[in-house]
Amino acid sequence: MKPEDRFAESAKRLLDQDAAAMDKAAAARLRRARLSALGRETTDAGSRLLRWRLPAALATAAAVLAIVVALSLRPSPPSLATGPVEDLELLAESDSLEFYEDLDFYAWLAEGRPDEG
Amino acid sequence: MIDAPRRQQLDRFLASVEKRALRMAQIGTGQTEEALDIVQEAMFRLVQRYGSHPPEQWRPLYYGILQNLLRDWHRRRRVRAKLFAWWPRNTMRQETSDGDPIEQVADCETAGPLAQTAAGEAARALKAALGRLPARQQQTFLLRAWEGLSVAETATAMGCSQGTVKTQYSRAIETLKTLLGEHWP
Repeated sequence: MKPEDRFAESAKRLLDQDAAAMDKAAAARLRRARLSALGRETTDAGSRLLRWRLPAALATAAAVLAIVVALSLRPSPPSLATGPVEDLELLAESDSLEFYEDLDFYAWLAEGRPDEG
Repeated sequence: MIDAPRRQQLDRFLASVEKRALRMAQIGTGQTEEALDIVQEAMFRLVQRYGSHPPEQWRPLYYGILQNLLRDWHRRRRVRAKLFAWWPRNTMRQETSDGDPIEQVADCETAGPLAQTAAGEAARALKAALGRLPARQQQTFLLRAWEGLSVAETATAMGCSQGTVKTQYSRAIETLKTLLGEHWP
């Protein structure tokens, strides 16, 4: 063996012993670093998916919002028919009902009483 | 996306190199925290960029990433040192002082049993000497002698020619012998 190979061999042995004798705290931190590196790959893959999906989701939400706003701002045609709430109010008032029952009388009154002609 | 079996392979591979990688980064930077960050970033980049490559390619690729990160770290440190050159020396001492490289070499096992043995002393001396080597020589020696990469793999990892690897390696051994002197058993 050449002297430089012998030297390298001794150095390797010493450095191996030194690395094997690494304190537990440093070894634990290395383990965490390794798991984190492997975990970050998953996280990043997830975030890459998100990076694609998020703009699509935002665009969809914006389109839906625009449609809702456009519909709500459009002037609605005047409704001729009375709504069900209005009918209920009329039915609930007993005075009004009597008025409608005497509607013919009021019509005759409005045309003018015959004795006034 | 990497499947579960490939993830397990990657986990085993990273577990097999992480301690040596940390020691290399500690020798390269002289700082444990920085070294841990660099090792983790190298792990992350390997998984991200080369996780789907054949496993036999991972070793040179991983050390290539590690060496690049170490080079970037030194580059940033030099820039920072230039930017803050006007700063009062005592306040920037911890950040930028070159100081004695022997003192800067990280030493995680000072209180451990290894430090109390002759082999432990030799390892300390060796790490200190490695810390004083020029970066290229240091990287070449660690990759060739310790990690056992071939000349071609080392050249790939370092992004240089095989001739450069041979030259740097030979110079590294000469420098180390000189630096270690009587400390070498």
